[in-house]
Amino acid sequence: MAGGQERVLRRRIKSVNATKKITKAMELIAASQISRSQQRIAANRPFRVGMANLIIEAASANKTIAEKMLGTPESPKVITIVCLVGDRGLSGAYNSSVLRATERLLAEKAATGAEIRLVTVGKKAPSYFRFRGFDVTESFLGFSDKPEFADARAVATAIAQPFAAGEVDQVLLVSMTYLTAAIQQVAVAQLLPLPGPEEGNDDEGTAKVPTPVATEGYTEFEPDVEHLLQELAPKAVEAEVFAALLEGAASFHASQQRAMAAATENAEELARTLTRTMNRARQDAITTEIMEIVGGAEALRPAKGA
Amino acid sequence: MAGATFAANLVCPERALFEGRAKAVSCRTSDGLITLQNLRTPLVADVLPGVVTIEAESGDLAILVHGGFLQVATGPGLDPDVESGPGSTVTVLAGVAELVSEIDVARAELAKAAAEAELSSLSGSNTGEDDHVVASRRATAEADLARADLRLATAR
Repeated sequence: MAGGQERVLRRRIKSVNATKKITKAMELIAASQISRSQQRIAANRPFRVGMANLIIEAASANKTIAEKMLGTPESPKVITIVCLVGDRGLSGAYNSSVLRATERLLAEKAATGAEIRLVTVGKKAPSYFRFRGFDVTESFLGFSDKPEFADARAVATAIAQPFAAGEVDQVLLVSMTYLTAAIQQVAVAQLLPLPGPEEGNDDEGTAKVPTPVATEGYTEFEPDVEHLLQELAPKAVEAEVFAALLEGAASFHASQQRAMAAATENAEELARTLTRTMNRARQDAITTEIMEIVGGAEALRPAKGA
Repeated sequence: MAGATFAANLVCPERALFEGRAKAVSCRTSDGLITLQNLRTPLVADVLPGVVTIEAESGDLAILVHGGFLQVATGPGLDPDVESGPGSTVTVLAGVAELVSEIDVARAELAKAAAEAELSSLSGSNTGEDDHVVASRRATAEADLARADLRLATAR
């Protein structure tokens, strides 16, 4: 019967509208989180700038030590790859683009014959890699939304310790960098050894940190540069990981906001077409009914001239 | 020149704890106690866990830092508030820092107990986890314990 189709459509419209309300709410929440994450990135900037200044100062003081301790190793045997994603989905391509970039990097580094250790941050990563047959050495989760410095320290300890012990030659970080609210980019950055001043991480996320001015003349060091750099390395990793966590959180919220805005729009569009179909179905049913009534009445009328 | 003020910053990753002008900044480095004044020779040093004292224009400020680094930049134009001529900027970078007056003793005691519990559970039976995972958890717990101890010692 025609009325049945109308009822089915009405139910679908109701459910689409309920979904729309949810996605709209998520969009608004994500939008409010973006500005909070942005403020945290801004509050973190003086520390990042200070750290960058310090490393440049120390590195420019003694070139031979700097060459030994900084820069990209030529043929690393053991590489730690850190993959930083979110704990939750419903955020568009945020998680998958970082995960795919990490997988590419894994394949690339494995092809050079290096042994790879994978450390992940975020709930979405371990299952992805285990499903694809990669070993996850260590995973962190539960703080990708609102990262605290203590979280960054836990991650940094886990990656800096094997490096300090000489078990790992290079540590790479794959994460989403937050350029603007509309632009986020997956970037691979070297955490350890500390990148030399001339390589910098300019195109890898620290682009917003202004180039530090090297102090002219003679600078004293306490303790000497070599020990200072040794002490500095784990702290610089903490700072970098924390900055990456903050940018990741901001990117996650921005990405989620975009995804949820698109979902809300889709739901609106769907509700509109469904309403149209439902109206037509109702009109058809009414027309059919009228035809039936008219037909019945016509049949009952006594024939003329009988 | 002596006694003039310079720009001083004490920043940690979450926020800047102090930004302003100071007459002197004292802290402990691996070479001993050091007091920085205006127009000091450029210096890069580590800061040992302990109290950093900033003699600010508005009064003295005691800040507990859990290790960090400091940089003194001296030269023309290096003090943002000095229009011309040489000036100094002192920057103290600390992973964790807090005002001595704001130390939460109850929280520090809780953290100490938690860290000790974690350490004893790690040294006990084999948890079945990988060695390096245990090692990194132990390092974290030891650092937590050291911070809690320092907070309690400073607060007393």
